[in-house]
Amino acid sequence: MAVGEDPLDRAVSIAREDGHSPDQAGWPELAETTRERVRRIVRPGEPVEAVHDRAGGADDGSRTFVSTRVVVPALRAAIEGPDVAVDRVRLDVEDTVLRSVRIDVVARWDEHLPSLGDRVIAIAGEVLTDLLGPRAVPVTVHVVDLTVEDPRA
Amino acid sequence: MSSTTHRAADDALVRAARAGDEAAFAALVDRYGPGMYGYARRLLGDHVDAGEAVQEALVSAWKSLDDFEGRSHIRTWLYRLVHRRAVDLQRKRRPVPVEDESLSIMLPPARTDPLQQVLDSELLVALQAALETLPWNQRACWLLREIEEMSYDEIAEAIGLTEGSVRGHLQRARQTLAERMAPWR
Repeated sequence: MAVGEDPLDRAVSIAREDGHSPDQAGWPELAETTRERVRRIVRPGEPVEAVHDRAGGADDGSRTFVSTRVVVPALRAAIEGPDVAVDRVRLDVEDTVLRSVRIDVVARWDEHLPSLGDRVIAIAGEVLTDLLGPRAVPVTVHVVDLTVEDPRA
Repeated sequence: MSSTTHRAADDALVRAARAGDEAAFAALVDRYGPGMYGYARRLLGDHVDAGEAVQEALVSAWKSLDDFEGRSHIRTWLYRLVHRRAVDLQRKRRPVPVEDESLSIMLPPARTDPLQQVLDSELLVALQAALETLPWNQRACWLLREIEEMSYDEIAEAIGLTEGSVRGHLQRARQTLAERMAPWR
């Protein structure tokens, strides 16, 4: 401690440095254990019924369900690009039937937003048809933020 | 990186993690986990309890990212989670005397100057002992302001108090700690 330095100020300075260091005693092991626990956690999802045209149109009672855990990342992966990032996807599922989709996006500030919205709705429609079959589901797009740089960065 | 750019990068990580991207969540853990652990260690005075509080907070964050509305910064939300777990642990445990062994985990990283390191270590042990004489909310407010460098409204958000109450706790904590550390002058 330098001559004249306040002991509390000095202690605060050391505690700040130590308390934010990734090398502080115990943290590396704790970080690894936490990452391991996160990997094992299956986040909650719910089944959505997929509808496909079957040959002959006979209904034998067979059904296919796709988890919302599959639908949401698929929408995100298809929509995102250098000009748009998905902030949140909300699926309104009622009795395993997908009723509507709301997609919140972050766009680049210089994007023409109505065109961007139309494009996101079209892409979402293709993804939903691909995963769940040709059932019309209303998709709403909300632009919740604008960024100067790549919104995915 | 400016605070605005930093915030934008955090928002992008939150969006990706919310969509199930584990790597994005791991990046948030790497960014804020050490500070959360340091905060919990000094608040609880015990590295085992601190580890439990931080791990439970981070697992809970991963499970409930959808509930994070983005009104506060992700850092403030994570500290709120770890503070709540620390409160739960504090309620459960009986008061125990502080042992030298539990304080040894508070020692700073090794430095090149051995004399300075000894002085710094003793100073940190003295700080921890002084902190543990403070009432809980005073200790939390002081740590979040002085060590985590949060604003008053962030502290209020993190520990569920009003800004006025935070200011009051902080003032009393500063006064007590200045008195406790005075013999080191």
